[in-house]
Amino acid sequence: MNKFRTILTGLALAGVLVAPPAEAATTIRVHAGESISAAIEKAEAGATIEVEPGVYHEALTIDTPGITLRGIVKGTQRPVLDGEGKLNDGVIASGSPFTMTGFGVKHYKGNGVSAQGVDGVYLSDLVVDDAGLYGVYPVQSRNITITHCTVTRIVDAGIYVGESNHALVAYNEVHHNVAGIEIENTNDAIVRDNLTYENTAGILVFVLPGKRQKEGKRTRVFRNWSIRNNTPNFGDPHSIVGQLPEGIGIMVMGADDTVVEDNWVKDNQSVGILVNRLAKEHAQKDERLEPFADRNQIRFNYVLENGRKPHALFQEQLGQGGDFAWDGTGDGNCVSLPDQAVHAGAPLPACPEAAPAPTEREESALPTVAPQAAEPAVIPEGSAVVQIRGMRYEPMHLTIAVGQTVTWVNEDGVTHTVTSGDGTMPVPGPLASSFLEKGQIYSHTFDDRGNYEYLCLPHIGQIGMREATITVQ
Amino acid sequence: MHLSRLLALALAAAACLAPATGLDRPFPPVRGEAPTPERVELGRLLFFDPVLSGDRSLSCAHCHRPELAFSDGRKTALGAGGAQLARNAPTLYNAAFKESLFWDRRAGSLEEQALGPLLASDEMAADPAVVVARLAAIPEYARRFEAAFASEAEPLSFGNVVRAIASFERTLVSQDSRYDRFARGDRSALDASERRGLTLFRSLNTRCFECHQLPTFEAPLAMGVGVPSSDRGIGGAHGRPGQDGLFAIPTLRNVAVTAPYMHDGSLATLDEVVAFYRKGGGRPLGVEPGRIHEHVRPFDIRDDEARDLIAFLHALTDESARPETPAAVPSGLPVLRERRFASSEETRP
Repeated sequence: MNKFRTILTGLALAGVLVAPPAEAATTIRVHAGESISAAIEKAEAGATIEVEPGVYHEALTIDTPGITLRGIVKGTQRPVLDGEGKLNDGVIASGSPFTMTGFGVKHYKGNGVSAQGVDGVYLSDLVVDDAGLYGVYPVQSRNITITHCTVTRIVDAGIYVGESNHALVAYNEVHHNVAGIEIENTNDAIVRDNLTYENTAGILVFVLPGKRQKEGKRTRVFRNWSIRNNTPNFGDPHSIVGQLPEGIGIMVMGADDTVVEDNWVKDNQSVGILVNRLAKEHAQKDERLEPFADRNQIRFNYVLENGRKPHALFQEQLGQGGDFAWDGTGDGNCVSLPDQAVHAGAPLPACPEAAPAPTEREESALPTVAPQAAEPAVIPEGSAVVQIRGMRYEPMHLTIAVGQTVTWVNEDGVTHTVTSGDGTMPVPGPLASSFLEKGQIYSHTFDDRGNYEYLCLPHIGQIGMREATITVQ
Repeated sequence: MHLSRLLALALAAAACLAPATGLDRPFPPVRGEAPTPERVELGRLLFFDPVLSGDRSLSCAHCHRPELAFSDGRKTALGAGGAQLARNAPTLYNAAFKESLFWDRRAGSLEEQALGPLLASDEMAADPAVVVARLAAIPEYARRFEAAFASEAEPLSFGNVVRAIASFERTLVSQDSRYDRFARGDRSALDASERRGLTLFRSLNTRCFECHQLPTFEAPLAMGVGVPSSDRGIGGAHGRPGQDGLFAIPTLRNVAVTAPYMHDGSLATLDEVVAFYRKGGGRPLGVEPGRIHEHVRPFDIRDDEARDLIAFLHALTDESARPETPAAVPSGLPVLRERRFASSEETRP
């Protein structure tokens, strides 16, 4: 027995040698013009691959565990994976965990970034455009964090978390996709502080048939913006998403125990927030799927001017559009919207006053990845500067000459934006920063005279963070 | 498991310095009762013995041939008297891991599955009482059933015939293909073309991986891909509305050895299969769209990429668990005798 124990101890030691401790992990630097795939090929488990700004026409496959792909971001410069419409996928990762930050990803036929069966997916500061079916697609994975990504022009879903458990989707800007953010057959997801606009539909929490994981429970959707999601559907008409009628802010379809709270949902011309079942023709494909939406709580949300031009499907089924609609199926759903909200479809009881039960695992238990400390932001020469600090733009009102550039610098420890606005409402306009973390900057050059009002999306409630102006003379 | 074997395994693992890749996924547990050596050997003999069929001509192995990864090389299987059956005979490799058996997923265990072809009048057409009587009359079988089911009051029963066959089938595992070695960290196990094919397999362009899931390369799901056919599949077997034209997702393990393909064997080669999916499965073939899963849609890949994909599929071959075909079986009947039928040009067994 003693001998046995000695051998086991020896094996344990050998195991330590086989898997090097984190501090011994290597860093490989890829310079512009070099191959990222070649670096991945020689990377050992736990390695970090740093990639300098440049354009890389590569499809990356990462099966080694613990790889970090870190794009070096220098001001507006970053490494860009460009499939040129010829390559299939930007990134396919299977190794756990997988981290990727600071990349642009565009023009792939299949998909932008996909993690398949990974435990620990950390995706941050990715700019994904026109990258195929999905922009960012973790599937059959767990412990997922997707933050500070910008995802645009995706023919299915910008950010799609499928058949997974425990996900945080926050501070992403997702627009001009068919579906903005999708949480599909996934349990315990948190979707907060995202900006979704001008998609066909903004945020969707739902179940689909024919998947191994049959449930989608306990997603929390809060403090998001879902506005003007009225883009005509440009998805594959054979896919389920291709049949989505345009004009939906937030949809809970067949999912259970979802809490939708404190979101701004505005100008979605069919329905602001929709609770419905998975359609029968899809549900009957999978007898083990429960297709009804149960025990969902639509709590206080800022809903405004939704449902004013509903898609024919809603006209037909609900008679009208609205800020909120329920198809009358499923048990235990409730809704507590502001008094002036327009309700379509069947009536629902008000939600209980008491806060909903916490998710199985709170967000604090989810490992997160901070956006990398960018190399010092460079303020363009000759630029006027607006500092954002102490929940204020300083100065609040600035006058500049035509052709001059203004640079906003976030000095707060919280996320801010610079967004064209009118009073407390964001409006389409020239100012449209991404989410700015501490130390990040946003610059815009004003070529036309006028008065440009702007606000901070997450902080419209703060008096120093709205009705700020740039006057161009 | 013996301590010495555990240690040997641990040492082997420690000696393999390359860390496993993210593709190295655990197999599901073997379903059903644990096989014993006596039952496996008995099951092997029964599997090859035509004594089980009504006319003593047909054994399980006629449609599940060891050298074809337990498929039969035909579009659809040949039953009693050369009857053309409705569906393609699937491989038995890794059936031990499956939640359900048959193309229409109607059997929940290997035992239940084995009863199907044994009892079907156009297949082996076995009469349970006759089979038991025949086996009891053969001393070697009587002895082997006594040993394999020693604790039971009635060791030789039709139920135990099925259990022995299922025990044998549970040993037919395929987990050591070149792909598996690659997944475990041996980067030289796949060549460049095969690796490109593996990546393509996991692309959202082709979406192969979403149904043929690691590590079994199947999934316990009903799926419609649109093979033109009057076969109602799962809808017919279970009487569930909306599931007509849906079938089980077959494993791709040993797929290079198990042509032809699809539930009706209508696609002769892997080239034809890939061509079928490139065009969107049954979409251009007039199949009702409601029978085709939304993930099955045309995809645009180059011809050299299609070749890579097929090269990868060949790397899923592992027949290391192939059992020996017995030279003789206890009944004394010929093993895998060639069958000739007036109605068929087929002359192979």
